Amino acid sequence: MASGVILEVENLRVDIPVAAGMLHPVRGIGFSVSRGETLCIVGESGCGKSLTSLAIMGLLPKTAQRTADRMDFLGRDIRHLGEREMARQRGGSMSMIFQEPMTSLNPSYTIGNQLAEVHLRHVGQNRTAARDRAVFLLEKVGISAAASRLGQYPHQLSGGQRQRVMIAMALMCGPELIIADEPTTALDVTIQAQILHLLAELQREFQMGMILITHDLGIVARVADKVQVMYAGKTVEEGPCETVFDAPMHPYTQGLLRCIPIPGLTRRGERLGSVPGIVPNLVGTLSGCMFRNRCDHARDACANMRDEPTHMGDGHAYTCLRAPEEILGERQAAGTP
Amino acid sequence: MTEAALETVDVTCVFQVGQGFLRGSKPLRAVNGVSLKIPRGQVVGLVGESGCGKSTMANILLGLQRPSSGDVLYSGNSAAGFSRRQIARRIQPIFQDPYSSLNPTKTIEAIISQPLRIHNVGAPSEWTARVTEMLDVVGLPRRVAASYPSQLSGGQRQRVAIARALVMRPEVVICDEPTSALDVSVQSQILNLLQDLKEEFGLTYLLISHNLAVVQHMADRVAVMYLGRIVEEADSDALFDDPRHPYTRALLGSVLTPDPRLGVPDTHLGTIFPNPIDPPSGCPFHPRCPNCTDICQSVPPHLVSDGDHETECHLYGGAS
Amino acid sequence: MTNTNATISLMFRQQQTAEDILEPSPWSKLRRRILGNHSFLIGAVILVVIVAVAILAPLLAPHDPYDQDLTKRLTNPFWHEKKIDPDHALGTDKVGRDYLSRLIYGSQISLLIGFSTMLISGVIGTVLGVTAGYFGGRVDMVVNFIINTRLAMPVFLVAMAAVVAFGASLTVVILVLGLFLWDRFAVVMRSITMQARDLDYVKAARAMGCSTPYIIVREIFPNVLSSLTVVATVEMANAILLEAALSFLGFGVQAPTPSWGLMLNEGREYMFFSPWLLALPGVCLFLLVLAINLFGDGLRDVTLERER
Ligand SMILES: Nc1ncnc2c1ncn2[C@@H]1O[C@H](COP(=O)(O)OP(=O)(O)OP(=O)(O)O)[C@@H](O)[C@H]1O
Ligand SMILES: Nc1ncnc2c1ncn2[C@@H]1O[C@H](COP(=O)(O)OP(=O)(O)OP(=O)(O)O)[C@@H](O)[C@H]1O
Ligand code: SF4
Ligand code: SF4
Ligand SMILES: [Mg+2]
Ligand SMILES: [Mg+2]
Repeated sequence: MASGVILEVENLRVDIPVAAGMLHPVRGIGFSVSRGETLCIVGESGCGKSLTSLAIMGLLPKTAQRTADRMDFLGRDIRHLGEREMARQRGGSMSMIFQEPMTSLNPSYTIGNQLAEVHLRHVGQNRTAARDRAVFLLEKVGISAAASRLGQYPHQLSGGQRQRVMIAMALMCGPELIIADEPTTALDVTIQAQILHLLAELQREFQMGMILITHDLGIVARVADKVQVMYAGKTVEEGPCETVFDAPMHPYTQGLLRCIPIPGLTRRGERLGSVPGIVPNLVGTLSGCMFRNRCDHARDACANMRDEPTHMGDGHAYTCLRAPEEILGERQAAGTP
Repeated sequence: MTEAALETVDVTCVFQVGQGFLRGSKPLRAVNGVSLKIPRGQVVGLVGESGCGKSTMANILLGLQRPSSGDVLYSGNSAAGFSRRQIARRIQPIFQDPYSSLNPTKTIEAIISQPLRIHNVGAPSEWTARVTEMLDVVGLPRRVAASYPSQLSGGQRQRVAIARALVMRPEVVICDEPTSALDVSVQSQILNLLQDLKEEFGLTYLLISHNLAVVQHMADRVAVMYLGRIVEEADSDALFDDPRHPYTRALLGSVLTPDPRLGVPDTHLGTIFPNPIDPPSGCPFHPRCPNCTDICQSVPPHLVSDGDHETECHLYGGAS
Repeated sequence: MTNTNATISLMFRQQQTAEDILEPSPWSKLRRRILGNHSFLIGAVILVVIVAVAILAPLLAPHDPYDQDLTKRLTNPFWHEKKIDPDHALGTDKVGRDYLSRLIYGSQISLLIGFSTMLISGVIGTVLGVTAGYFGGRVDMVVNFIINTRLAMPVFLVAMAAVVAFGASLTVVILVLGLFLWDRFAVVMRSITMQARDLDYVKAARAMGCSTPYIIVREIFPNVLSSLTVVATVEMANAILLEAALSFLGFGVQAPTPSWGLMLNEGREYMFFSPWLLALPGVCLFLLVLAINLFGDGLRDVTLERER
């Protein structure tokens, strides 16, 4: 995918002052997204996925502080853009799909109004043009009788339909980058598959970059080009999707993959793997590998580990003390990935 | 097949749903003529999309919701012969949301011992011992007894809910989406625990879930629900190897196994969502069904059995 | 399952949850939040002082609040130069009663009215609200109708009418206010109970075979208690102000009872020459109502955070 990087982020940090001290929910995240590429960010609840996406969109809560060594969107540094400039980017060349379709559509305006609004604000053409685009996109996202739907209110649609409307809204201004934060978590499996299928198709068609946030490894495997596994505010492993799934290097990634029952692979009643323990508290000064209280391979040195990723080539990297030989040797001994 | 611990016979549950101001109410058939057998010692999975009536079924089985018609049989005896408390001793629930299933103002000890107090089991002096025992059983450290739910993680709370359900040694546990609010790493712990407890206490489970991978992992028999009806029911292997109803097929086709070499499947399902108040004529699935034929639009299919494999679809049996 | 097997699986399970208790207990958190909430603390301190004054009134008051001394009418409080009486620090009123003592005893009346009204209206409103919220359907419709009927009645006018009809006395004022100020209790309790009813722990209690009264009292009530206290403070302040207003207009507590509202009324004539006769009971009322409101607001912040 040589065709142009859309977004490049380096060492993104978010700090939020809370009653108990300073919370560090995002502690140095970096990634890049190219045209037509899907980056999946996966991780446990509370590991900072949503805050990462909000930080890019400039939508962090008021009290949160953001710092980054680099945040280039379409070649432009967006770290110091004012609120008004950011608002122009949002919904224009960069748009977001949230998890809850119910709360992210305004219940008191019709679908048509809300779709046209976005278009008028960013593109500023006339109403007819906005309306035409709304109908075009509603059809595109698989809503039947699109023209007649414009007059409906969000509550008159099903959850799946609402999420489709959200997608249409995100596409209204032909964005270069879509950030989708758990876009299907609230939906049924059949509808989830439909929506993801749709997103993948639209992305290919319009050659957009996409950041998809999820905690479902099934979705990641099926949709992602690149994967970023987050734990406690840090990237613990990243790389091309196939490589990460075939040869996970970090103990956390390995643990996650062992946890899920896979039809056809895990036998009924068989014990599933697990990652015992819980996510550590991210308040105050933190040092070393934050996974060490849950890690089977933890050793003393892990408490002083510095974040230097081990590169495996091809963009695959993991942040753990264990040497690649050790992990690979173990995998060979076990005979399974 | 072994004897049924729990069975529903043609149960229907109708809610009157208000249509808004001054517009009266209309009947909503949340459960529409369902007969389901839960054999003793087995795990029956119940799957289907949101709003198809799974939780209503659970409520009926727990005796919390009186069916509009039909009967529930406990070990073969009609529900009419049982009081709520008698039902409570046989059947206990585990709910989805570990954050709302525990009373935030009570300690863990009070929560787990509550069934004992309600049913006057044993002397109050024995309750603490029972609670400790249950904490061990579900793998919680004993010191949580004095804590409050807000001090525990989601997985720990779900363990407390399981301890509360099991303290009276029920025969059947109805698990309504027991792991869907949990992270995958915690989900596997809870599934393992449910698996162990089943062996240890000889339990029977009804496992409601929309995660088919979980259902396949746990269930011996699976029933697929659509719009208040069971449209397919079979032994787990048969159902997953040879899904028959188009909805079951779409459902299985939608399971996203973590295989990076595959893309997102196209389920070929329509997007028209059925309105449960005004269900489609004929086969309720016909507006979304890729195999829909003329007869489907007017004549409702009926259940056709092929051994243990029951399907309700015109593709598998002539209409009457 | 054999014994060893069971032990192994047990050990395995415990090792699985080798996780700590996440948080400090809700009570210690509550305590910390209370100590960090200034409005709650200030309100609580003033309130405690006023309640203490009311209880200890016989000890604190230098004089009998009813004792008239026509030779010492309208003496000035201590900060004046002329016409002060060392016996009466805050001066005397038009019939020579010690103003400080009357103010001190006045706190009893205000608190008594506020508290009893809150109790009566609280019981009525909570019973109605919780019943409507828990049972819903037809019961809810009836209760809603009662609430709306009540809301359509002007409290103040009805109270004045009742005083005219039954004669003015403390009991009548308390009863009238108590029987009228329950609407907010009912509305709030109804909506909170409705939410609580659908929570899974209530469903779990039903599945356990608990009776309906048990569920309402033991499962739902403790969880609506914090909201109930907040409404109670609002209603208490409301009742105190209403009593003052009624007394001021002559429809409330009757002379010679030392009520702050009545004292405001009596001081009205001397507004220009002896403004403290008006100002002092006014300040007392203001402080009491402010304290209750600060306390209630703080309580809401403190407990809302707890529920999050
Ligand atoms: N406004 C805020 N104030 C304080 N802490 C916050 C705030 N927003 C988020 N956090 C904390 O930051 C951490 C990361 O939150 P975030 O929402 O990014 O998690 P997430 O990975 O998206 O989790 P989930 O999968 O549950 O959505 C969490 O511990 C959360 O409690
Ligand atoms: N008390 C009620 N009054 C009216 N309608 C109800 C009531 N309870 C459930 N319903 C309706 O009955 C249908 C079935 O609901 P149910 O909760 O059983 O679905 P479900 O399969 O459990 O869905 P989910 O997967 O979302 O939990 C829904 O259309 C719902 O709106
Ligand atoms: S650094 Fe140590 S504790 Fe962290 S993942 Fe690697 S081995 Fe485990
Ligand atoms: S009966 Fe017809 S419409 Fe219904 S599922 Fe079968 S083929 Fe599809
Ligand atoms: Mg999130
Ligand atoms: Mg449900």
